[in-house]
Amino acid sequence: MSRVIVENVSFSYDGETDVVKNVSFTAAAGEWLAVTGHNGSGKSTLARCLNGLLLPRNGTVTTCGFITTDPETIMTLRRRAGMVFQQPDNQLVAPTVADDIAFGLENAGVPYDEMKERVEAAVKRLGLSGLEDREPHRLSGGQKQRVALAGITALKPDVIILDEASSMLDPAGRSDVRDVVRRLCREDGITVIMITHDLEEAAEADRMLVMREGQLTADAPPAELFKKPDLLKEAGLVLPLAVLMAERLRLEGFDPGSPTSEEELVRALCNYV
Amino acid sequence: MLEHVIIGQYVPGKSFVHSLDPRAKLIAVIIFMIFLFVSRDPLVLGTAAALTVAAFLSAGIPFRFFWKGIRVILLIVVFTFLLHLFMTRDGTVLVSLGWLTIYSGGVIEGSLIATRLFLLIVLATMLTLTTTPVDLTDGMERLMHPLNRFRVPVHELALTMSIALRFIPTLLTETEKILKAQTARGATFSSGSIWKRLNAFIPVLVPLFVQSFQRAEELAEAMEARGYSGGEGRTKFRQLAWRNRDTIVLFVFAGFGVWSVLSVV
Amino acid sequence: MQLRVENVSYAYMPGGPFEAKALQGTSVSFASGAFHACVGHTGSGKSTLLQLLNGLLRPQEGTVYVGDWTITPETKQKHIAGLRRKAGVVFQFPEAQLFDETVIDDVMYGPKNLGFKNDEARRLAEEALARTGISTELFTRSPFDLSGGQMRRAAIAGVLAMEPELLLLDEPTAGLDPAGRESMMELFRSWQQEQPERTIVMISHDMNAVARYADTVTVMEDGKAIAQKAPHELFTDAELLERHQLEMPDTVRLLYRLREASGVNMDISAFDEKETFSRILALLKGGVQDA
Repeated sequence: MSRVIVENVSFSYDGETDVVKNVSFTAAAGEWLAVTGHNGSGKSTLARCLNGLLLPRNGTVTTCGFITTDPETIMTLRRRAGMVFQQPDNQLVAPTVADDIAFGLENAGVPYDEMKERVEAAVKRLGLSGLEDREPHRLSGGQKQRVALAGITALKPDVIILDEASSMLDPAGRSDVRDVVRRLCREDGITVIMITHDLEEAAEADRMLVMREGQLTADAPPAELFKKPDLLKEAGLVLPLAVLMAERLRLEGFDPGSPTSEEELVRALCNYV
Repeated sequence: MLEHVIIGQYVPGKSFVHSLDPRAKLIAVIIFMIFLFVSRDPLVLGTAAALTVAAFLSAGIPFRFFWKGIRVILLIVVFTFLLHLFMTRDGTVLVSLGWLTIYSGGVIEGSLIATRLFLLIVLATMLTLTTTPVDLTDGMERLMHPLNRFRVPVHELALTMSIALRFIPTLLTETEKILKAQTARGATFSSGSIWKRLNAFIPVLVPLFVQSFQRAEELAEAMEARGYSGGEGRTKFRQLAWRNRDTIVLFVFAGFGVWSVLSVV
Repeated sequence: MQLRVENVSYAYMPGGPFEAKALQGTSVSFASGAFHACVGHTGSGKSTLLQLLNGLLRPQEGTVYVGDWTITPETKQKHIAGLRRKAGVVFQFPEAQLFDETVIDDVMYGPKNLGFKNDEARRLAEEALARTGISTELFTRSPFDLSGGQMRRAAIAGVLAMEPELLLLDEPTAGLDPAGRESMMELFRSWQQEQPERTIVMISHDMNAVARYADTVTVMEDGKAIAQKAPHELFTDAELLERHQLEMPDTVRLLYRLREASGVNMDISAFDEKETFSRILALLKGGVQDA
């Protein structure tokens, strides 16, 4: 069964103009989805519909088997579907790393002994050993996002939603977060829904969704979408360098295949040399 | 200058004082505060001084760091001393210069108040220097827990305080950054009339408010996403462990309190 | 504007248990009339260096020369007030400094502080806003009603309106999308090239932008400037980049990997798509080697 089911969802902040227009998609267990789009395309609003922070004006969202409009189950839903936000600073609540990781567990009423174990496990899993007593303001951006992820993984979630979680980070922090997310998805089978405008980041996903002016204009594996550069450009997205080069090479009569990454392009080109 | 003020700062360490339960330290300081002002007996004050010195020595705070930090606050002590010196009209006249008359009572009263104040400031500073703000908040929450019955929102108060503590450093960095940005845009904060100076801070305060509100909104959203729904049914990650040493320290301070009262009776 | 830093050290909260050394006896200079970039990891001292260059911080040891100004540990704040007029700073996320009721008033804040009359300040502000691409109908709006990208531009206009000769940029494109990043960099470059004495020092993690726009790149590490090179020298030196854990620009990395995998020697210093493409094409069409 799908972990996330979005059916004909529309959302509007002011009750007049819809920022999300009749969007439908599903995400299976262990799947990695990238929701891409230009700033203001409605992708972050859509993300907030997935865990009931926003409720759709029309249509339904069912996450981890719970419908987001049911106030009885919304807290359970949110524990099963964690969310990492864009601003690393504004989502850490507690004064130390360990306390912050425990915050969600405290909310869920997990008993102390189990809580301690789970916090320790999350610290290890996210490579935060030695930072347990560190205060959030003494962490780098990448570390803060990993703490946020640790707080979510401690709850043993089924789904993690990342809302532009690496857009404020430096390159080191960005690859840090991506490594962690990869492991959580590929090794632990957590469904990942990653909101991003960076197609290089999206290239690694199983499926890529393209949002444009509130509408879902594409839903396919990245390799397939990279063959339709016009669709991506229309959505205000910038093609990864490897994809762009491959596209131009095709125009020159070469066949570089349909690479989604630098490695794939290099491999394809080496056949020619 | 402000970066030298150490009241409210925490210095990491593993000393005896560091290792005490925050509840024990809080109660000890409260006992000290109350009973220090009960007795005028020099022996009692001497004991109080001895307790303070003992606390300082066993906390392992570098003396120079401590002295630098407490200097500014000593001005208050000196001011209090002078106030009592000049205002008290008891005992024999020691000095008389025109309108200024100093009585022996003034010297005694001034020294007494100044000593008490000094000891209290030192001991209270020791509390914050050796206890993380988190532990302090936690200790207070536990101590105030019985008030829950009187509908005092103890959990909410503690959470608010802990979030405030979490964001003070962020806010300070933010303030400094905006100050620098506006300085780079030609702002001056230290010249002109008071009105002008206050006005100069508007370009600093407005962005700070705007950002704090935005921060608060985002934080509330994040807390909601992390399943926060009030104090009910919540468990606690932070556990406090009361040990024998805490009981001993409390007995020592309680003993001081009793003696202080006995010396008056 | 000519810049020189000589044996400069700076520490935050010196002497206490929280002392943090930011610069440790570093020397570096930046030529007038060029676009300089400064790269290095978080905590390498880049931001401190930037703030020393306009007198926001004074060195604790050593000397900083900025144009005609000389700043030593003893220099009084009054003495360098005039430097502010010449050196503009765009901090990271500069939109955080917006405060006034309207966009135009906010941009006029700097010029007015410098003593320009209202009319003159307004003219400067309008010019700066036009340059940063803020349309006239937004001038009388509240800066807080602008979009994120527009707020960034308005804040930058607030610095440009002061007509600096030296522009100090701290991660000016952080958090922007690719299109926004590029137009912002174009804006800075065209500003710099307009007058012969205009100089830019920019801190950035975005190696793509550094490679394309900078004339020199200074590498900072542990509070010291350890190298200063032209982009084509620095970014083709794979070993040096590896040693200091610096990223290659995307274009260079693609060509570098291609060179390593194919074994064909080729020039990998291409910083834009067009050039990169022509290098790849040359390689495929029979390994034409241009040096």
